[in-house]
Amino acid sequence: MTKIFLKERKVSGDFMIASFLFEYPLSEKNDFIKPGEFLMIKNRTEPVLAKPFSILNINRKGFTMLIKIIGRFTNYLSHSIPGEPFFFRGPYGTAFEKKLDMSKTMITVGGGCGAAPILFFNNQYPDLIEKSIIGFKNEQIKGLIEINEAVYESESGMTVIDELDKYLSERNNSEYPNVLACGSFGMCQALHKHSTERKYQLFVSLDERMGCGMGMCKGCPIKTKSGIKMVCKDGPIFKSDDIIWEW
Amino acid sequence: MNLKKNLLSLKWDGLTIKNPIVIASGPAGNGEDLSQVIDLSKIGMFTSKTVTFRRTDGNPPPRIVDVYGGIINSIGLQNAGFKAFLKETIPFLEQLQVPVIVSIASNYAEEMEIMIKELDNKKIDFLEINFSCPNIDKGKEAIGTNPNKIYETVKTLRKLTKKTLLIKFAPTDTIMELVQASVSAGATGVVLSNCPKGMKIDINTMKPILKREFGGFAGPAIKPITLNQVYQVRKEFKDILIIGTGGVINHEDALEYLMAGANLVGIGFGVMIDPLIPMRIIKKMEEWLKYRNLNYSSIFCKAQRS
Repeated sequence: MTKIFLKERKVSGDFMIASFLFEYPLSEKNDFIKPGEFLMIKNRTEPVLAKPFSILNINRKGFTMLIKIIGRFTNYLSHSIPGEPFFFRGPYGTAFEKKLDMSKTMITVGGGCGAAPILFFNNQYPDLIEKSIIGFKNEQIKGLIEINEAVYESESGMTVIDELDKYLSERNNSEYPNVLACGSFGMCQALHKHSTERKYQLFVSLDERMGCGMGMCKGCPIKTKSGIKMVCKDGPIFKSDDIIWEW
Repeated sequence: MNLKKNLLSLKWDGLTIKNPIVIASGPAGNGEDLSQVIDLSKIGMFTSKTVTFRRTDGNPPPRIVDVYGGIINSIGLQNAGFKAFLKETIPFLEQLQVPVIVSIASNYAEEMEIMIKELDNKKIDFLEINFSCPNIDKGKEAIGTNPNKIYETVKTLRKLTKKTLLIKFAPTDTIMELVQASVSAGATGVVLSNCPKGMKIDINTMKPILKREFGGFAGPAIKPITLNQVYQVRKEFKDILIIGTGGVINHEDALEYLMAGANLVGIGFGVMIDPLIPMRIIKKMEEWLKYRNLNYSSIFCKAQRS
């Protein structure tokens, strides 16, 4: 595991932005981790499993993550003091670009902290983004980061799926839309249903409780038409048509 | 001469084992991914993930739930079945530069017999019979807790192979009877212990988080229990092979198991935390022994009072 140091963390409600510094800066910018890949991070002393995190952005000196405070580790992190060392290993997972048709433009959808890899992707491949919808249930995130594409259910009463549906209705493009989405399992499952109704090609980046994060322990399964796959290694990105959603 | 290497080495039935650290069955899969991260030839032994006769999809998610001191896991022996194991995994295991333990499980004696017969011809060193996976339905009251069934099954299997035969049990108050049944029937030794059963309830839904309600409790919290199993079994069975496993995450844990009487020490959960942990444990054990001018033999069983 490689050492990193907490540079800064800001908390707003259930959300947190945490920045880390590498112990040794990277040699080349943006070569280290690609959108879709993730890092396994843990605190220094506790004998607990490391947790998977997508990153929001990265430079030679460090990286930033958008995190929902949901369990013991994220709660611990939300109270940590800048300078505290943490450990990470990785990156793991399949980069979005390995499964997507990168010759086509796409609509990207992020829900909650699933926004992180989508914003990272948008930032890395701005020319490929036809439209991006980043949705949050409430406006807590506004205290942490400015997201131009953000929509808030508490404000508009519309979910990201409603927003996407509206966009597709108004869309003036005869080409079959491609959609990349990251969010809760429930959001991805609902989007899959929507994709079959509205006829678009959907790729989802899934979140699952992980063990090792690198495919060994079989702790993060997803049922697909070609058998049981591991979210950590075979994913987290999957073509939604390949997933058997009910298990 | 590399003194450091000799400090941890041991022999079992003519087999020289570099050090007592064993990758336990399960969390490291069949070693393909782990071998990308660590040099498996530096490990004492490697145990493959328990293989079943038929393909097993495993349990639906969630399969891992964090609890204090470890996790509750409900993997459910996901594997591609014995036929695929022979074709795809055995060639990989046979080329590893480390002694290999193949772990098998079945609720049917006939299936186990077929697997043992096939494995007897392969270039593997030990066989582990997993009588104790908490995460398969039919296993709940199967062979693994009944001394008579254990005796009959092991006796049959023993006739089919001369390889070192290990029986893996979960912690239980009746462990002496189970070990006695195994050893009387010809087992070489035991693996102590598999995960005890555990549960986590989601207070919002008021239901167990795992769909099968309970799972296997793994991690440092179980070490006092599994360490005691090793100690008590060693007290009664002086000459059998014991692999002590449960909650080993650092060299001190591993040393405790050796002192309690384990010949070898398995690491499972620790590999999930960080796949480099086994290497770190080996290095630290060497340092610990060297600093005190000790070696493997001089600490083995030393916690036993008699």
